[in-house]
Amino acid sequence: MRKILALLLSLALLLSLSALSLAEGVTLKTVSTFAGTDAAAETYVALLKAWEDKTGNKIEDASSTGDEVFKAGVLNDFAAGNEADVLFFFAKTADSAPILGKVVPIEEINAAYPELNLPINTAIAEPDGVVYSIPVRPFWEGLFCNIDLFEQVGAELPTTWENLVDAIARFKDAGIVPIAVSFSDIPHYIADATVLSASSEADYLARPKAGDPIPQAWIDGNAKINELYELGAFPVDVNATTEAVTSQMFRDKKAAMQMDGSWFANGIPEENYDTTVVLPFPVTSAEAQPTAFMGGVSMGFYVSRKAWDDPARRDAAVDLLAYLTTGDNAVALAAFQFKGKLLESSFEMLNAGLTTMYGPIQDAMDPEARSYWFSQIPGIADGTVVPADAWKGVMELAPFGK
Amino acid sequence: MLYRDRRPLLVFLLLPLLLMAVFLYYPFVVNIYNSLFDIKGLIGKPGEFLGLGNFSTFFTRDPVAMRALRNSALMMPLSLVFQVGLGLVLALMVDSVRRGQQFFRIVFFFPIVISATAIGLMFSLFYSYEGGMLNQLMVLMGRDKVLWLSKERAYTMLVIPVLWQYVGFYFVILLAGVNAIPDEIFESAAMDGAAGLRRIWYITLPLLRDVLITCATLAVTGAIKVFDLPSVIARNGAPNGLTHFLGTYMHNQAFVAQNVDYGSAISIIIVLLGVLAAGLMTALMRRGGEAL
Repeated sequence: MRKILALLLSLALLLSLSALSLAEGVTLKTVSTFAGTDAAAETYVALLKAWEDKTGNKIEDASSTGDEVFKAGVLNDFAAGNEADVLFFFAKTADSAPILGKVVPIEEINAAYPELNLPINTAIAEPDGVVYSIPVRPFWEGLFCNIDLFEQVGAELPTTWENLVDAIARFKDAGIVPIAVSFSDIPHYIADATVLSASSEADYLARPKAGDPIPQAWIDGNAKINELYELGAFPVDVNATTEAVTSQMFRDKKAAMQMDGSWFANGIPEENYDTTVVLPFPVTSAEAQPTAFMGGVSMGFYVSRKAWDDPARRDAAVDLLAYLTTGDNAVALAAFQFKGKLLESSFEMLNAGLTTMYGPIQDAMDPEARSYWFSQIPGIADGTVVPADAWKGVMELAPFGK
Repeated sequence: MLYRDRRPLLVFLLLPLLLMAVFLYYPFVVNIYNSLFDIKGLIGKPGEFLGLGNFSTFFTRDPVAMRALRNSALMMPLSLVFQVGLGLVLALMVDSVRRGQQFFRIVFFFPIVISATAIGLMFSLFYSYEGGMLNQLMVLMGRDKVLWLSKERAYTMLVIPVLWQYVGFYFVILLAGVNAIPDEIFESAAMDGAAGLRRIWYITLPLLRDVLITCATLAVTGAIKVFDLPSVIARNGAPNGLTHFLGTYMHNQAFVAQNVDYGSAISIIIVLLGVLAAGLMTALMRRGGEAL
């Protein structure tokens, strides 16, 4: 009896293995940031499903929110030779530099598949002048403001530094947190925004090598964080709370302002679309440009060299890349879901600052130097770290190369 | 002889040894190699040879590393006192309870089966300044809200859940040890007039020596590896990097700063400290046990 049972089980195993090997199509691995609260998360999943149905191929997707863990996960996968076949990842930044040898330039894809004629967007070209990815969505960063709270305390919107200081005092008196931020978790936006708000174009675009002096505006800009801290602009636990908590404070109208990116706008509740606007961070020096803001394209779809070199998956990977980055599908992935005054104000910021939109400094920084810079922000805020010393430490790590 | 042919046993021992070699010892050796070179980025190749430069930086030029080392070192005696110590006290008390031992086992062991992330989030909500449970209680009592994760309090507030979570673990091990002591020994001791604290000191503790050594070793090595709860409750060593432990700082350097060589060096320091602490603890406990 046991022998018969063992024979039957072996047969069943053999049959299932045969069935697997006879299955049609290939399986592709994908990874992206179209997940969580991203406006296009559902669209992305639906597009993948539709592509699977159309081609008979399968997709194993590992998308997640685009934070440091996401970056580390993608880079680790590349390090282990376990990278995705098609990925939506950072481009034209220090984060993308390590993967460039393991992804395929768009020009090379077009040469092999001329009928596709994939778009080559030079705005996302890497320092070697080659375009490796196809962007589908631009981004911008700005100061989000709950205008109903400004009306409540009788404050002007922070279009100037003086307005900002005045509003902070009024909000503090009213028991409302003026600016929601966590320096222990995500100091990125204010760190960069204060530098931009103090810099001329030349200063902001400077990328000093190790040993070169840095623009004084960078130091002066970060020093403003301490000034804001002393004014009581931040939550009491700004150096110990988390971004999730502070963002919720803004959405719940317990905080008046938050410096963040266009992805944050997608998480604003629909009922707040007409009571929320976004503005450039107010300038703090005469050389700075009032319309300047951070934005551009910083992410795109790639095909990995590993998938390209595999004859079984190459066609499928290229087909999926074209499917996601052209026509209506690309438009659907680019969509932001917010409307009302929030959308209008973002257009106003973009239109006014068309010629003064810059990529964040942090994107050009070596990750070690960037991490060190961010680790100094809590100290700069509470006055235990001198901004000049913090920048000296950053420059010792050669953030823009030696 | 039950097992005359021991070759099958060798096969069973070699298989796990092979797995350990592939998944533990080989990465460890690579880690040592990586710590000696400059490596930029998570997928960077070893570059300039640094020798022991990373170790020198750790001990002489990195104040955050020194803070992390101090925090982890302090965690060792705290774990011994509050995890093993409290576990022992609870085990001795529960052992003298005639009914309901199983109930106490479950209740005290329960925190172990909850994921550290869940406990971390729970304590984050306790400590939150705006709307946190502790501050709600303070307001209810008519007191001012407290910044529980201030520079002065943060370490203590982090250590509390770390210690609390593992008390039940040592309690269960020690209770099993106490239960394993034959009743006849206690009966003989009672006839000789040993009761209460004398019974614990002269009978229970000496017979628990090996279990205590195991618990103490686990506690001190566990203290050096603390990672999960602090990383959830206090991001990036908040506030101001003051609550980094060796584990959280290693993770921060390797995966956030992508300073792989330095992260590797920290991980080696963690292993060396763990081995040193475990050896020291065993030697001390054995000497103490012989004195009993």
